[in-house]
Amino acid sequence: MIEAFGLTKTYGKRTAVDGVTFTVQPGQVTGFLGPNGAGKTTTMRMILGLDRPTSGRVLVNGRPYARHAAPLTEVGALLDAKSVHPARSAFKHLSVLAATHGIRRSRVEEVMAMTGITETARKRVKGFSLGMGQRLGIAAALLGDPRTVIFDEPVNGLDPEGVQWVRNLAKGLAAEGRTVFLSSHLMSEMAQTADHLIVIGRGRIIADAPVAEILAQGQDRALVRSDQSTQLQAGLAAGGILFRELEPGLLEVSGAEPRKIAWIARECDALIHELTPVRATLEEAFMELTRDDVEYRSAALAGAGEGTR
Amino acid sequence: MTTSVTASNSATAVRRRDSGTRLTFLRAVRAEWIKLASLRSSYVILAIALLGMVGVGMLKAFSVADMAAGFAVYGGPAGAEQEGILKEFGIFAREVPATGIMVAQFLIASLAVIQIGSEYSTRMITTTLTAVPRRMTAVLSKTLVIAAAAFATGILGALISYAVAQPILQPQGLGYALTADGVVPSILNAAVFLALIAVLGLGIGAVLRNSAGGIVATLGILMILPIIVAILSGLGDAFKDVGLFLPASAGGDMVAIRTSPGRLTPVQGGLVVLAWAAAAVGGGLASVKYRDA
Repeated sequence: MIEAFGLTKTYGKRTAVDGVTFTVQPGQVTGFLGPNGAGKTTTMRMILGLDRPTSGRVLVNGRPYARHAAPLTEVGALLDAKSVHPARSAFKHLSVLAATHGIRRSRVEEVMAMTGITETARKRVKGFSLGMGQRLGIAAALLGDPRTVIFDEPVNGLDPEGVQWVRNLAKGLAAEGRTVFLSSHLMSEMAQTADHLIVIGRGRIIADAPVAEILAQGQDRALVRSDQSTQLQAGLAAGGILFRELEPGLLEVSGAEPRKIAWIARECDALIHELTPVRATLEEAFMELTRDDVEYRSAALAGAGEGTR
Repeated sequence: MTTSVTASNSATAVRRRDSGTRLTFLRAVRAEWIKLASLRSSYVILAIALLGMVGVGMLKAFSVADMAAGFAVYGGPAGAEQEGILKEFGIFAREVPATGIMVAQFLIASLAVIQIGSEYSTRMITTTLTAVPRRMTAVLSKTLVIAAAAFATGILGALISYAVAQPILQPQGLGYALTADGVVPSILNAAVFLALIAVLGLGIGAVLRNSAGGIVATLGILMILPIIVAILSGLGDAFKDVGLFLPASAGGDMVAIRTSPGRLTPVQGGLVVLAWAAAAVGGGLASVKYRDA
């Protein structure tokens, strides 16, 4: 379990993390979602005590990380896969970490096998691909058989098979009762893996809810095709329901259940011959949530592009 | 016997590995040892330090033997004075094993800076401080390992220098046993000096978090500062005393078989170098503890 209380980090005038409070529960995969620069990595570094919070505090399994007798058995972290001396072999790298806690050599071999790096383990890390580096980072995180796992952008650089593997690994670890905290800037990735989402934007928590609930927050829409479109539009407007006309005779209605739409159509004597509910995707829910919080707005970028033309 | 109940969340009933798995200072030391021993660069630098040490020892042995030979051919003042000069040669000869610290210190200092500087440049420090989040333990274990390696190099280098020097010195009647007056303390002090220089380098590396910058700063203190002080000492006597308190000069005094007038005794020299090392590692500790990794 990870508990953050009013965690804040400022760098000079810039506030990277702005008073975030959240709890990451064991037994499920919690996604930490936010655009690049939203404060995900800084938050994770504060959890591990690598960065000192400007204010607030964070506990892992009931204590500040550094206060544990066996930190590696409490938290396994993958922050930056490149946090390895390139001239050392993967095996030696893991042996160093194992030595700090008196972890047996057999466990080093176990995690190498689990992550599929056994064959390259004797070579210098220098020649590793991004994906291999990521696997080594995950091997290091799992070394202490930790109760809590923190992965920062774990699927970066992995091939599709590796991505699938990380997803299953995260779910498997959560199923064993561990706390699993994954960050990503890709909503699609989180939709596939996470049970619970903590959404961060500009250093603030925007949402903290089960994935299903966040999806539900996204406005459901419906596509309505009618022969009496004008009448229907008048009826919807009278009911205070938002819509837009996609093409003559086809409306996109938002914020109303299909049943309500059908009732309105009946009341204003409009025949509808298509009524298709459109589920909001996590992508849309996310865009909705972070609309005001995206650090680098694509609209602004587009505007800048036009200006130079 | 009291049983302490650890506060654990009942929901996280994860099977634990064997209970012996925990972080201790000695284990951190072992991990740092593996780090040092698993990089080829460590061996290369230590080997060069050793070679340099023996090489300088040999040169010194040759020069002492040469002086003695010249003295024998041309003769000199007779009687008590002659005896005094021969005694002087004997002291020079016994200083041979420790002479090599003159060059070995630069290599040891550089290796020590790299030990921590490279962790920052490769971001390995993130991994290190995740495994060993107690900053004191992290820095002190690293310090201990590099100091031990420097000490061992010093002892080994001095002993090889001793062995190599004997055949050179013996023809002039300047050969001596390891047990000869002052030899063992001089060798031990040479090794202690190198160990302290390693601590100095590590501390500076931890403050600057950069291998190149750390090496420049450390070698600046060891090589360039004495030159500057020497130039300044032409301006006034005040600076002459300042020179005594620089680590390289104090190291020379540490290993001297006989303290020359106006110089520091071995113990005083050792305290000066210790002060430098302590200041540097104290700064390094503060830097690692209070600044973000």
